Amino acid sequence: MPVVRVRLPGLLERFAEREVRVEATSAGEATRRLLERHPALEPHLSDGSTLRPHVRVLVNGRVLDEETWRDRELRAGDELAFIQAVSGG
Amino acid sequence: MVAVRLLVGTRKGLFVLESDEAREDWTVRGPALEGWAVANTLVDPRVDSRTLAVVGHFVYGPTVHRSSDRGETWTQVEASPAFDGADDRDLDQVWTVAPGARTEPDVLYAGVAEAALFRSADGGEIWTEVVGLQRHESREEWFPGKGGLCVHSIVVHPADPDRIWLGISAVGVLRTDDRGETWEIVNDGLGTIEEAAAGDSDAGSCVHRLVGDPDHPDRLFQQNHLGVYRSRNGGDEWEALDDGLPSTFGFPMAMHPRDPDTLYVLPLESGEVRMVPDGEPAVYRTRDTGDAWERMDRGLPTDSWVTVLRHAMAVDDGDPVGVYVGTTGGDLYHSADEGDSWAELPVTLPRVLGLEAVTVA
Repeated sequence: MPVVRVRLPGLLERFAEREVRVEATSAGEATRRLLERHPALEPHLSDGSTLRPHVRVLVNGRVLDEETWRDRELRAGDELAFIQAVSGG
Repeated sequence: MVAVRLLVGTRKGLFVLESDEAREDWTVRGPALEGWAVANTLVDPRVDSRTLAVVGHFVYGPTVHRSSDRGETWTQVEASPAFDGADDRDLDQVWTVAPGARTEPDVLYAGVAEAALFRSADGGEIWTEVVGLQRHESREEWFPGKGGLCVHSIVVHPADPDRIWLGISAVGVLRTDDRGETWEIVNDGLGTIEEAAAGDSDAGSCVHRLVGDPDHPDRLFQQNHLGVYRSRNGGDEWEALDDGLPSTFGFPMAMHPRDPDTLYVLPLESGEVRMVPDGEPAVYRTRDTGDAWERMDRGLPTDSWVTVLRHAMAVDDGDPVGVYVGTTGGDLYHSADEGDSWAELPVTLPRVLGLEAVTVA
């Protein structure tokens, strides 16, 4: 099983390490493993079954589609990142 | 020795100010929960060391946190208020946590937006919705205030856990006598704001803050969008109290902890302007349950065009009682003599959302 890195935004570091390593072959599986290990993250990333409206998911710096992001395949060393889709001043 | 602790919830975290009995010199700790909005905190008077905070963020959503070390460190509770997803309601914010009856020290309630009530039976770790509120016949007619459709005030009868009052913007006061299974709107005598007047129900009164009198549980007070009101019969009827007040609008209200005839409000100019009148903040105090109000502004600034939000006023349990006010500009003012005179606390904070003051034994 490939090991991937999950990067979290700074405000969520209080619920986990900023970068979590999990074994997963897809973005959805990596997210499940992340939340199994750190369940306190769940209400901040998801709103019921879907991502919160201003949370975006990236793999290796590329934003994934909001509908199909869970299916994105991952390979060893990939970085899955959750960020807030609000920036600038 | 610390005698008074003031927990200050702000838009960007929680700050803790401490002083000795004289309340002249203050130390400032924080921010805890840095970057998170802390709408309100509760130091539970029934259980030593139980402190809860309602925490939120516009991206990462709302949860409840607890502290057992006087606000120094915080841990998210196991299951914060959340809707079950069976309908399209969004839980935007937890507005407040309130203690249940004295006879049930592990029961707490939480008020949220979109308007709903949650209950915890284990001291705040696990929250479940009191679904009876959603079944009220007027539910479809509820209209949000500017801050959203929110349950912001919860008063539990101190000795009868079945009787609870809620303040909901812009719906009014709802009362249950069966622990939340069924509810009655008790707005008789309150004004209705035009934009919230709906259907045939009694909903549509914009209560801004509801306060109960623990020594006389049938006595309630509220700062409403349209005035300050008193009920002597559990909310069945309300009477306007405006003798001496400069406006009908305002948000916060606090009751003296030992003399329930004494209350404090901070009037603002109109629902359209929402600043202190003439840029001169002033607390108004009554000593007779609201029949007359006196202006208390000695030591408060001029040319200060601020707003004070609904939870941003608190009283401590000292003798004389200390009164605290936090502004949207991040300033804190306090009185160590029950409101007679005021001084600014030595800190400028983010927008102040909620204050909780406790006297430490």
